[in-house]
Amino acid sequence: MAEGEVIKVLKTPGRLADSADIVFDLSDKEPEVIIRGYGFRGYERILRGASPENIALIASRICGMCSHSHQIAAASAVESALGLDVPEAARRIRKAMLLAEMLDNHVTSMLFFSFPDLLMPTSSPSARSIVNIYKMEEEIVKRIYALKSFASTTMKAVGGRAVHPVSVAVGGVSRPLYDDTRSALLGKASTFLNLVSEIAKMAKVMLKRNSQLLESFGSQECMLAAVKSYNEVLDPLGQDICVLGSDDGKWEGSVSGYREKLQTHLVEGSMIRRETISDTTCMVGPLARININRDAYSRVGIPELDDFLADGAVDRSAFHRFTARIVEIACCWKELVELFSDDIISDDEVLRQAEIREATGVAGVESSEGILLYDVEITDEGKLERVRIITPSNMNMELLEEAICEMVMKDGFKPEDDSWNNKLGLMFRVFNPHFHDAVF
Amino acid sequence: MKISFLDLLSCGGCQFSILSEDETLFHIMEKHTIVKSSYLMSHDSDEDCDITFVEGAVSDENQADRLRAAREKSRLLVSMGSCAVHGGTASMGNIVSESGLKVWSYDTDTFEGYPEGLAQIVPPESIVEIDYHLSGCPVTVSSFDTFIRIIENDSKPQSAVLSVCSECLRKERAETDLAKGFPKTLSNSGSPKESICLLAQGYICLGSVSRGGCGALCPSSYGTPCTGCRGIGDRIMRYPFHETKQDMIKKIAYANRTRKRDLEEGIGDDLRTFYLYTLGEPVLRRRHESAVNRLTKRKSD
Repeated sequence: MAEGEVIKVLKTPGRLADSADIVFDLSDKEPEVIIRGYGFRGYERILRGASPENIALIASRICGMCSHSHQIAAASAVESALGLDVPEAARRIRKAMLLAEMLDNHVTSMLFFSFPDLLMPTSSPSARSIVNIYKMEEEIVKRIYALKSFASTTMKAVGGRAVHPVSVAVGGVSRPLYDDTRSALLGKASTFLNLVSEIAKMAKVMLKRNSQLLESFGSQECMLAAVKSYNEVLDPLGQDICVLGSDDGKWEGSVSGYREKLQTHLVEGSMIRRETISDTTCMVGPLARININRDAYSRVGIPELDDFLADGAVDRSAFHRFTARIVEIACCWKELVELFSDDIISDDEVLRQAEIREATGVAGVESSEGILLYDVEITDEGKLERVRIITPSNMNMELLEEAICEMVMKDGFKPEDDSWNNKLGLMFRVFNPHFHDAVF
Repeated sequence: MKISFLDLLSCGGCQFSILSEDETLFHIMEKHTIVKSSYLMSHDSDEDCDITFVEGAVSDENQADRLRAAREKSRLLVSMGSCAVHGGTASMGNIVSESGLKVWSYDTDTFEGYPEGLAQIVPPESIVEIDYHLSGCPVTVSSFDTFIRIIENDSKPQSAVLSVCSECLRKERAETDLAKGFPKTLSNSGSPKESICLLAQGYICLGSVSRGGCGALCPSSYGTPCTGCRGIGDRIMRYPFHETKQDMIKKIAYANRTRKRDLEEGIGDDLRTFYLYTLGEPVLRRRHESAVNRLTKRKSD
């Protein structure tokens, strides 16, 4: 697509993990918007020929923000291929890693990415940053940051590091979560109830203040897909996936059944692969999870969140992408408290031996931005032959493009206008695409 | 000081690590001016600055141009993380041609409007002069923090040359029976015995040939062999007759009282076992007979 009078290219707004630009084709009455991602590294090819035991180590390097999710999904796919069940303590440690990462990502998304827009919507772009907010409201920033610190501390304690964990191995994890560490984490987690409530209250005020702007983002006709929670509030390692159609039709099945439904598309001029179900876009992530698991989420038991979870409050609108993150901050915290309250997570048996053989397998986990899926094939020589990775960005990118398209149709193309740019920026931040795992 | 962060070909994990350490982040926000960061700012800046931290390797002309511009605008240019220091896992793409890499993922290699790829994926030092290197995958935040504080005091940072082994708590040696399988891995042999050196137990632990500074987190605290994420140790970088795989085989043979030739065949994945973070390293690529050259095919395919 050549750049010219009718083709305009804008860099994606900052304040997210960005390495992409937006191409606007304004030649028709109905504009076309394509997001181009950069930073292709070829991980699916790099993994070909690797020992399956190395998959977690390498896959983690795809995305720094969701490295725990990649590591666990990749190891789980090999385990699924080999028919290997990991010990219960290892499963719980992995779950704690995923929940802590989700908590960390949501707080980061809210505090660093979206907070500046919601707090100072009319200020200039250079003024709207957490750095400036910190200068004015140091105590508030530090107070909210405490929740991110807790998430980082938890990731380090259970995974070894906050980014690129070291403990996940095919068959489980390399080290038990010792009882004294578990107790310390539980003690720390228990102190956050007030803060979680405070964040919910503050979010309500900010969302109310910006409701007109956020509601103008509209709602989208699409399917929703999420891992189903049963006994727990939020289970990122759950085995069943639920897909809700835009007509409220429902499909429930296994991860491999869900994998079979997905179709890959390429859009000319973009390296971001798109995945759909029967040619229909399917949203994954916080908003899909809250729609599918609303009953489970309601058990979180924080009154300040009741409005967000009330009947009719949750739909497919971009506005509710914010509220879904706030609700999930509480859900992650609640689940972590539950996990650390039970000493099963501190059992000694955390690793089972694996016999590498010819096999294929699929596994998915709920990462902060939605279902992350690994599909692997192991040869009779015990090497990875094919690894297919389907990230939340592959599922959600078309929805973001549609939302931007709607905005251009409604407001026109006005990149020189600060408020237009602000809206574009906000739109990206509510979707929060991780471009490192959009093009990998 | 004015501080800037430049993203090239990476996972973004180094900057994200810094965001995750409250003391470091608040210190920078309080004492310095951040002029550019994709995570923190919503606008791009081409202001002159005192330090630019570069994250990632370089794979195309656009990245190379942005790097050159950053060099011109920055008093100090610092490579941050393994991708920026040695090429990191980002440079693993050198194992096949650029076209081959794309076709595998997309069934096509034609993407109009994308910048032209370089002949090799390289670390920034292959394009511009770099003043300092901060190792790690991701960068160790304590070393980032120390670096900032040293520069604040107008001092010159010194390069650490200790190996991971020198920081490891597993000091004991015990003879093991390699007939039970070599190489041992967590998945095929379970967790290693405590306090005994992993090499002496038959695990391929790269601690002896890898740059330290991490406190030997993996072998000491998590019982997982070092994979060399902080890059190549001084010995291999300085002396051309040393090489990662050969040095390791020698050490494992010595630790297990066995012959080198009995070990080589057992290692099925040289590439990802020994060169996962260093395939783009120019010092190794300049050695014509090096394994890194043998494994690199991007330009010739």
